[in-house]
This record gives sequence, structure tokens and C-alpha cells, in this order.
Amino acid sequence: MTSVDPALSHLAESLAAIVKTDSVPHLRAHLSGRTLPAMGGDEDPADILLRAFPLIQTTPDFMERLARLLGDLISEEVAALTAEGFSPQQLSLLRSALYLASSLPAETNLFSSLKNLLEIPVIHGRGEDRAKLSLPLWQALVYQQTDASLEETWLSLLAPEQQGPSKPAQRTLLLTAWRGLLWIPPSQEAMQAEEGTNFDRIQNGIQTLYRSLLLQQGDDFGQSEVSSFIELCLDILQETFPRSGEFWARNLRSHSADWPSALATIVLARWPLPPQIDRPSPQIFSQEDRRSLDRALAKLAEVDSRMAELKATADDLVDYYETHRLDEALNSIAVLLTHFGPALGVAATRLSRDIAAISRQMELLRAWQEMEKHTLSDVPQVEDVRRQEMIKMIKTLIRRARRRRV
Amino acid sequence: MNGQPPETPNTFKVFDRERDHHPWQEAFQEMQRLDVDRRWAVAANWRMDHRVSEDREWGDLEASGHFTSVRNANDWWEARKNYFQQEICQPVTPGPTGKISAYGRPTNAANRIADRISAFDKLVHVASFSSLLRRVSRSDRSAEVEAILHQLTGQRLLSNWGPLNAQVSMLARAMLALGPEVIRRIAGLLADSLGEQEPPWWASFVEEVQTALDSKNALALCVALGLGHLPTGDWLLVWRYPIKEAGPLYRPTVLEANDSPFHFPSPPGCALGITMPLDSAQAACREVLHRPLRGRAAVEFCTGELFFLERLPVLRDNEVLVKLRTQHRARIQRELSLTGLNAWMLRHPEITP
Repeated sequence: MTSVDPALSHLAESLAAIVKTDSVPHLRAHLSGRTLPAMGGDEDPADILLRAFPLIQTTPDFMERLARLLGDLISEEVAALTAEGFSPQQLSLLRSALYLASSLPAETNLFSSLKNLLEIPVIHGRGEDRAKLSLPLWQALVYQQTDASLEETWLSLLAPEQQGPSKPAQRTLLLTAWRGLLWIPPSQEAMQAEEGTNFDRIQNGIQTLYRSLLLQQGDDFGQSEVSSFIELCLDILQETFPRSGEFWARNLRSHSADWPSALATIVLARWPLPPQIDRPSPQIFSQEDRRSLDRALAKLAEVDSRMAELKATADDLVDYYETHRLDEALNSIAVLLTHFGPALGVAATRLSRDIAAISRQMELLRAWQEMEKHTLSDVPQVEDVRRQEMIKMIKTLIRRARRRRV
Repeated sequence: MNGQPPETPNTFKVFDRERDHHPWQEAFQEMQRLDVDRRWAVAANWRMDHRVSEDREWGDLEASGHFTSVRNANDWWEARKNYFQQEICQPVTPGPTGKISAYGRPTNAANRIADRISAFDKLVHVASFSSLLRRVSRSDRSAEVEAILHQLTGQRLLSNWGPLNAQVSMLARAMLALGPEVIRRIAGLLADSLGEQEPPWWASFVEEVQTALDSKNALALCVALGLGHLPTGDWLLVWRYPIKEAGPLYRPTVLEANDSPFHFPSPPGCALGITMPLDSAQAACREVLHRPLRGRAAVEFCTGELFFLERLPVLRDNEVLVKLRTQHRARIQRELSLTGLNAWMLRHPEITP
């Protein structure tokens, strides 16, 4: 008795020989089930072939060559298509070929053949061909992409098609399209820059998907299910690009300003910033701080004719007291500085931009340092009560916040 | 006796009926060789399985069109696969296409179990967890399953499949950690998501495998139920349910056994199927077919357990398989005293290495 199934060993040898000789007919015979061993268990031919893969050791580039050969096989089947569509045997063969394709590494020839299959009208019709091939084809295309040519296709699958209650099959297609979008390989330029993650594409995709889900809400698929579905999509994102939660928090937050607020809430809740820099202790901004800031604002308002505008900005600042969100406070200060830019000079405008950029990334400790640096050295010493008050206010805030953090 | 003389072991037979110039003759002769692919075991079963009636042979198997151009063993093997996929893997009640599974068609009426079996008796069905996951991941309800799996366990369905991998085990272990209720819920979800293409369930009587069930040992279950096809590293889900939940019961035939070399037809006169245990010391169990459980029943009657199949002895060598079949024959002869049993055995002597 051996520890390896001899039938699988035999199959592995056969597969290695098929790849070595580029034999499409022999691969077809395996995939159609004609030349497979008796395994039991109702497995698809593709799954029986996959069980033999670990036993193939003599051909280092076996998977890539098999993928190329599988591309040839699919092309031949597409070329043999008649007006009546595929025969039941062809359907069965192609379905197994697609199952296998989804488990092989991306290969140009295979990707091209799958795209040709996608162009065939029967794939999108209503008959048996569509029922048997459509989903396996999308699932295979997800992992076979060697360029970005399907980006618009995935986005159109994600886009809301029609309003009405969502069906499980629609959601399966949405999830497949989301995976498809994520599995688009980076461009040459992005590769050179070592940027595997395309945030514009991700945010475009997630927003499109979210809008689709909203349109498809119904009795069985309400807001709670939409949220769960988005969370699942975020999980898939993290699985596709294994990065830390902090990575996603940092990068997605900088894109999330334009998102629907409910979507942004789901994403920001999924990847909160580490506690030490996300939400400073409520004590950081005490009632005393608030009074101090209010006094500063009032004084500024006295000397500034743009009272209404300033008051509106000040209201933003009040909000942060209520939420104790230091990041929002910094944003508000940045906005305030922008308004006072002409009076404070160019340096203040730059300072406000820097603060805004830094606080968007939630790197608050760094923001404090930058603010301090700018306020001490970069802002011109203009004799202006507004500038002095602003600088004083910021420095006070920084000092108190630091003291409380310690 | 099935109308066959006992002394004709060398005449060509299909379904235990003698044939003259049958189109499959060449294919079956080709498959008589004890080759590494084990097709000989399946072919031998098709030759000896009296349970496929003439009605089913002509009104279903031949009429299906899958076997019309069989010239050699590969043609036949492909036709068998297509028959299983397209005729057996169908709903047992008419669906949108109007097609029902071949085992539920009138041509298989002879195998519908007419004997009155007490409704309180219990059946057990064992399924491969990885196989269920794989099928569901390819179904159009996969997103729904994935969302619920994610919600319950934090794990996802695999979207592409290689050999058994660590992710299946991670999911299984996460489910085990969450307890039987979660396992039941997920088992029901998987069962419901398979759609109408799921093959019928094979089931045995709980009492016959009680010891194996109590042992909570996957290997013991596989040995008792003859599940020689499962790969090491798989996980098993178990359902125990009253017969009344199963709907009509059928005696299995080789046609439903697909390509399993671990099946052995039950002899003439036996109203049910009989398992071929993977150990000669084990008693054989009675087995039946029925439609898969769905909905509430698929949740309620799952045992809430998952058993890891750490190691299944490789029984796939021809020598071992022949020995297993030979011992099974002896077991049947010891146990049953059916009229025509010996004659049936003589008509179909075991292939020897």
C-alpha cells in the first residue's frame, strides 16, 4: 500500500506529458472526463485534475504552460461554435475548462481566449449556455486578467442596472465584479513605482457598488444587509491586498471625503486608526480650552469685518468640542487660517494647507509638530492682532493637548 | 434467479442480462483490465447490477442519448459522466425545465422502496464539507453564502479552488469554535444553496453506524459507510433525521453511484442497497437514496459536528480493491440467504489480478 493514490500519480504523469507536448486533444480528453480515473465523489473533471497537481514536480513552469494550453483549447471550442450554440458536451467541457482556468495563474493566451468567449452572444442570452457558462466565465476572468482591459466591464457590472429588490444571483455577480476590479494587474508605471493598489479604482468601484446595493434594497435586503455586504467587500479587498488595517485607514480616509456618508462610516468603522492617534482623550479639549478659543474667536471677530464668515467657521470649531475629534479640530483651524490667509500672509495659507493635509491623514502627532514649527518660525512676524491671537490659541491648544497626552 | 442461468460467467452481460453484440461490449472488455484507473470496478458493477431494469435501460439510459455513439472505453466513460451530470443531478420534483432526476422517473419505479419502513427510524447522511463549499462557491447564491459565513465566522468562501487547502480547515475550525448551532446553520445554508443540481443523498440507518458516530471519528465513519473516495484532510458534516423527512426512498443503482469504485451492487432479492465497508471486519449497512434535505430540516437534523479526516488508508491499489470486493462478496453470502444469490455471484466472478 502506498500513501499516494496510484490513479492520481498516473494522472499527474499524464498531465506533465500533455503540457510537455502541448497536446490540446489530450487535455480535452481529460477535461471532458473521457480519460479520467474512477475517483467517486461526484467531482467535476477540473477538480480531479486539480487533485493531481501537487504530484507534478518535474515541470517547474507546469501551471503557466497548462494555462497557455487551456487558452488554446478554449479558442478551439469558441471557433467550433455553431448558430445553435454549444452542444451539451461542449457546455460541460467548457464549464470544466472555466473551473480549471479560475485556479491557474494569469496567462495572456488564456485571458485572451476567455475574452473571446465573453464576446459570444449566447453567453449573455437566456438559454442553457448562459446558465451554465456565464458565472464560471466571470469567475475565471477575475483571476486571469493580464491587463486592465476589463476595467470598464467590471464597473458596468457593478453599476446599478435597474431599481428593484436584489436577488442572490445579482449579488453574486456584484461580488464577482468587485473581485474582478481588484484583480486588475497594475500598469507598468505603477509596477515600477511599486504601487500595487489603485486607490482611485477601489474608491470608484466601492461607490458604484454601494449605489447599486442601495437601488436594490428590498424586504430581504435592507440597510443592514447593505452594510454587511460592503463589509464583506472590504474584507475581500484586504484579502486581495494583504495590508494592515492602518494602511487602509490612512489611504482610504484620504479618499473618503467625497463618499456617501453611510459608506464612509462603514469603511472608517472597518479600519479605525490605532487608538493612540485616532480619538484623543475627551479631556484634551476641556471647557477651559473651549472658553479660551471662544474668546480668541470673539476677539478676532471684533477686528474683522467678515464676521458672518468667521462665525460660520467658528461653528465648525464648536462641533469638534462636542465630538472631541482632534482631527476635525485641526481641519477647522486650517479652514480658519485659510480665511485669514490674506491678512496673515502666504505662509499662513501654506500652513493651513499643510495642516489640512496632515490632519486628513490622521497623523496628528506629526500635525502638532508641524503646526508648532510653522507657528514659531514660518509665519512672518506681522504686527497683526489676528495673527497673534491665532498663534497664541494654537500654541495653547498644542501645549495643553500634549500635557494631557503625557 | 433473474432469469439467468448460473453457469454462464463468460457471456457478455450488462445489468445482469446477457447480450449479443452489444455496442458496449468492446468498451467493457477494454475496461476488464486491472488498470491503475480502477475503471474495471465500475464496469464490473454495471455488468452485474440487476437493479437497472429493462424499463430504465431502454426508457431512460438509452433514450437519454448520451450513449448513442459509444465505440470504446473512453466514449463510454464520458457518456457515463454526462448521464450522471445531466440526468441524475436534477431535482426529484419537476423544476422550471420540467426535467426530474432519473432516479425519480417512472422508469426507475422498480427501485422505489415500497416496503413499509417505520417513520420513526432514523437515517444518517455524511457529506464532504470541502465538496459542499466548492459546489456552493460556483453557484449563483455564493455571495449570499459568503456574506453569512463572513458574518458568522469572519471567514469567506474560497473563490478559486486548488487541492484541499488550509482555508477549508480554518473555516471548519472557526465553526467548531462557535459551536453546534453555528455549524447547523451553515450546514443548512450550504444545503439550500446547492440548487437543484445536487445529486441524491446516500443514507444509511443510524443504528447500524452508531458506534462510528459515537466515536466522533471521521475515519471510523468512512470505513463503516464505505466512503473510500474522500481525500485525507477533508472535513465531514453529518445529518441524522427521521425517515419521514427524507421523502420517498429509493434503492440505489450503479447509475447513481457515478464513477465510484467503492460501490458494490446489492444482490437480487435485496430491497435496499448495501454498503461495502472499507474493512472486512465491519458489518455492511443497508443504504438508500433520497432527495437532499432542505430548509428547516437541513438545519435541524445536522448534528452540529465537523469531523476531520486525518488519514484514510489508501485502498485504491487494485490488489486492495479486489480483496475488499472479494471479502464483501463473502460477507454478503454469509449474511444473506437469498434465492439466486450464489447464481448471481457465479455469473459475475470477481476479476483477479
